[in-house]
Amino acid sequence: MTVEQEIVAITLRSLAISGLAALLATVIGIPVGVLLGLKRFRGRDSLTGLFRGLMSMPTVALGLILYLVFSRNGPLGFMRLLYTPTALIVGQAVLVLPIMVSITTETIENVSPAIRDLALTLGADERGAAASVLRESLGGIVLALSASFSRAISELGVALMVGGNLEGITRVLTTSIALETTRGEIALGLGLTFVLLALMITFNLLLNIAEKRVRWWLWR
Amino acid sequence: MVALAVINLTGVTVEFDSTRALDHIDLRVEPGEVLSIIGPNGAGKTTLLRVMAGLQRPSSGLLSFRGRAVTDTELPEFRRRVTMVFQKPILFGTTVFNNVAYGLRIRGVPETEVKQRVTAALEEVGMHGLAGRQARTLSGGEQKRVALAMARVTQPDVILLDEPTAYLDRDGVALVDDIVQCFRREGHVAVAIATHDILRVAHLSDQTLILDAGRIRAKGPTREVIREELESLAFGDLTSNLFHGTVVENGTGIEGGYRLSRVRVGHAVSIDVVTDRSGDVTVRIPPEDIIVSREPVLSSARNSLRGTVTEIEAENSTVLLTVDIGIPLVALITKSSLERLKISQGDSVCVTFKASSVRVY
Repeated sequence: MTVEQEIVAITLRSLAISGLAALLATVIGIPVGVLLGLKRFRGRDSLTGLFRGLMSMPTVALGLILYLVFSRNGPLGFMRLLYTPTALIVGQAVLVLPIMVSITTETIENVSPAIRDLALTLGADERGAAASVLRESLGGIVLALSASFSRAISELGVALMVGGNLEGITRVLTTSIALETTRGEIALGLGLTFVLLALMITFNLLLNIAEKRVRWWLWR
Repeated sequence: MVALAVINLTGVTVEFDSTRALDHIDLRVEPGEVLSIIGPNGAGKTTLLRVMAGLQRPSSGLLSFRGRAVTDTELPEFRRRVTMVFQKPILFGTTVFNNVAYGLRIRGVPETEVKQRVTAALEEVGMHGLAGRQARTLSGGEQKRVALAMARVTQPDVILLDEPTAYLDRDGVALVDDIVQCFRREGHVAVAIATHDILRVAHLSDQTLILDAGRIRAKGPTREVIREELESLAFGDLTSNLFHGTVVENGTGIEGGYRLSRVRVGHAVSIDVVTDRSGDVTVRIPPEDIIVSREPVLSSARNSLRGTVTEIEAENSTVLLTVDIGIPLVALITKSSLERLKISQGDSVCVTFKASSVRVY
């Protein structure tokens, strides 16, 4: 395999792993964020605070915890996930879940009372009012998705600890950059860095376009 | 037989933590009636409107709609019959058209009818040309107009207006008046207006309720309630120079681009004001906008009248001068001006004020 082919393969793998991790975090994080943003229940503030605190979780620390969980003698060792792409997806999803939840919660909390009242007084029922709040929160939810994907694709600690940087299996852009730099292949490391940055910028530009389309579609 | 009230509140109390926002409110709103809820900031006006809109459940007491108690299960249907326009306009982050169409679409109105009704509602509030604009990019006054169209288009039984003239210019204020008058003409829509400005409601409402610290201080026909309130001086110097009058001539001139009209106040006094209205009006001439002089002054002001000083009331560095010009007009001047002009009771003086200074309600 040529260097170019290898770079393409690593890039596609990074996209797939981090994309699926962000998707997993979105599927779990948005409902949790909406629940925390709309409902008042006992322990809500503690839960919100916990998610906020976990946003700044060091990736190496999370990587170590997940390594212990997935290792042969760990509680999930029987699943034999360590050093597999699945472990990486799960690890990155756990890493970005607090970001997804916290930004969604904050957005809904800010939008909620006024828009809910407006929808109710125009004749919407509670479900319709909640849908209106969600629709108005689209910008914040897209921001949460953007932050989650960016954090997932740019993290190193989890990828190294639970992925192991195995060539052709769990090697992603960040682990490749680290490896090439330690090998003294600075030019290749820099090239991979540009690829990583280009990916993040392109993703966010596409997300921006998608947000406008979705917003238009929601008000069709 | 007594007609069923469209909204009836019985002993409604609302408490937030340890604060009592409303205290045992009893209130009936009849179909086609315009009710003013007035009182200072924090009196509970907005909370009362929110209870009437079904947005705030009372801590105790009963809310009824057309004779039936509004329970939790009936709340969604009740809310479809009552619409509230908030003090600070709240709009969805979409176009003006979609905002106004929202209430119709959730009622399942066919899209062709939605288009017709939204267009008509936007025309009514003078916003038809802006249907495609993003609503949140509009000015405060324009947003308020859109909010009024959103409320109007759903054809509710009750419309609740919280400080409807906030953020509006002179034309916007006239528009609110027209819309309220329109509801009144239609006869079946009840309107409740919350405001801290007693003068706004003088000619708009049939019934007036005065709230103070969550309690009803006065309630009844507007004319009576306002007269009693003015007499009790509960509203301070706002009561000065408040007169009922009749527009006797429109188009007497132009001032600042606005059309002037002549209003007769009392038996022999006519003043120029800025208005397009006709018929009965209430005018207020702010005491601080009146110039007092010994002789007529050459100025651009349209109103210059001679009268006799009947009362001089000193307050710190200012003086309230009552001048009888056929009506008792109060002017606010400084003590030094009084001394310089050497004015005393019984003296003949000139009072001068601009047509645009006169507030017309």
